Amino acid sequence: MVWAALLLLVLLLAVWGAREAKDATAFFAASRRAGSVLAGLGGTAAGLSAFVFVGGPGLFATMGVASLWIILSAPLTGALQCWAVGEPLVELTRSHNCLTIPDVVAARFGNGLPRALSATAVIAGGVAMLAVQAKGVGVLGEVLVHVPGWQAATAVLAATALYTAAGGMRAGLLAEAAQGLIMAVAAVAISAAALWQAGGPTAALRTIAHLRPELLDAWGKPGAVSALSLFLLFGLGTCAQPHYLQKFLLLRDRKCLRWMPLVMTVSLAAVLTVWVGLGLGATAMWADGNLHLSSPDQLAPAFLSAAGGTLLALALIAVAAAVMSTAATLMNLVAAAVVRDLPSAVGRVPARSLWPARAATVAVGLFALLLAFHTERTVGLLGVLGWGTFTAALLPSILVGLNWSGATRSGCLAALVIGPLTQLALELAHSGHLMLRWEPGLTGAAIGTLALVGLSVGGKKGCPEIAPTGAGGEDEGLD
Amino acid sequence: MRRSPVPTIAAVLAAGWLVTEAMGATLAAALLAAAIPSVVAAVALRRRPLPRRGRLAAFLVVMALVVAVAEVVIFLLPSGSPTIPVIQLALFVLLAPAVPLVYARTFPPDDQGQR
Repeated sequence: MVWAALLLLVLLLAVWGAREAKDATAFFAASRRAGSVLAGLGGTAAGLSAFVFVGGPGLFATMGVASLWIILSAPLTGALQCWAVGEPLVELTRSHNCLTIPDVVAARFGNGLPRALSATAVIAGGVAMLAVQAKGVGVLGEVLVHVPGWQAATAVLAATALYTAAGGMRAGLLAEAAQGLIMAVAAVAISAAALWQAGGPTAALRTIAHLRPELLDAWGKPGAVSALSLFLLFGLGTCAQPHYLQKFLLLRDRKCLRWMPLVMTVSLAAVLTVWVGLGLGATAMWADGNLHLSSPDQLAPAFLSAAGGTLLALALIAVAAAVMSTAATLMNLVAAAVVRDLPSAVGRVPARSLWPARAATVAVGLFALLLAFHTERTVGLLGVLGWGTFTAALLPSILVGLNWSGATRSGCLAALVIGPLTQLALELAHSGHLMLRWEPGLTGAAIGTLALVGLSVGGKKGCPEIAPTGAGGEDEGLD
Repeated sequence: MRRSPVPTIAAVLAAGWLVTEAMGATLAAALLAAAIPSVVAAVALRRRPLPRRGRLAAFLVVMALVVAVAEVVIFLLPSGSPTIPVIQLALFVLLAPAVPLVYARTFPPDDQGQR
């Protein structure tokens, strides 16, 4: 019954979106009508995947409080994004009519390679993250509702592709805001239930301190530097995630930035209660012998299966919302990179019709699905890309480039190449248990930053503050 | 024309982080984890033509960021202490509304946009 109602909502949204999305600005930038609440809730929903509901509590059961370093930057990230990149992005969007992040990079550093490389990073990271979403839904479908994984993943991605292809971000943003609210309510309810069943937070902590004291080690087994790397990767990394940054391109005016961090942070904190509440409560139950798991990863599915009824249904809806919101934004971003940014980078004018973008949206979803279920090893490798790739590739050019008028095109190009290559090399080294001390995404961003600064300072003087390349904006013609 | 401090700050922090990772130095990592977000926020705040009251608010913001990461004092507590997650979560709850509210407080009106 619930699923039929959801399907009906998806169909209505697709029909409404198809009628509303009539041009590229509507399809890729939600007609720039978003206010603080829509963009803030949408940003949180797009940024948080099913991992928060399932992987996060499982990580708590494995690493204990050391896993909290991943989420402890949450109170800072909303304001940090708006200060450091949101405000310059909104200014640049107004002056250059940017619709995508590669548009922004091209507006700042010139068309051609900067746009092509940033679009490539968006495609690589976006497809990797989409494939991981599909895989995640598959695993949850098998464990929680006992349907074959590929069927669950196909159903969720097809529903997402339906309204995203029809209405782009015009439909996607509205859905994301509603999904963000659902996720927040469900997360708080699930956390409260888990802590209540464990006898309350104090009792849960006491149980863990008595039976599994190693889980209360602040740094965990990898040590302090690794824990603090996670804090920085997820704190600063938000300034380079296209699915977060895209929301700044959808704002109707600069004033909307004022309350956006509050909306983002409060909704983010609400959703993250599931990491702490379910993690703490269910881990205490596991330690006490009241919950039986084959591995710590099974913590959330095991607790929810045992709880059953309303809580399980709520969790399923929240997980579907989390996956659909992230997938919708990623499909739109990758489709934009394929049909708009790459052709623009080689001097071609993107098609005015939205049908190539719609077809690309469906194709991206299909490709991610095939990747998730037919090439196990590739997904394993791509899975580690995503957040780290975006951080390594885009953080120097976006964070430093938008705040320093002296950053040059050659510096940007070096950062866009060296950052992700470093990250990839370190990920490969990690898979061979080498150089484990180095966090790949953060190290890539640090080396990329040094390359950007070094080449900009040592390179040609007199680079324009903002390169007037005519980035984006089909209304005024491209380049 | 005044030279921008951004490249120097960015290079020093990036190089500092690489050295810290190479040495596995806990104290340096803790200091950089506190410094990097605060410095990023402080640099961004320079764009604003802030009045005196705004400067105070901006100072508070930066201090809030420092306090947020000052939870690294946790490493002074004995490992396995149940106090650790309590401190972490208390800071989380305190800062989640505080930092965005200070952001809104320092947000310049339309006629005083970015420099």
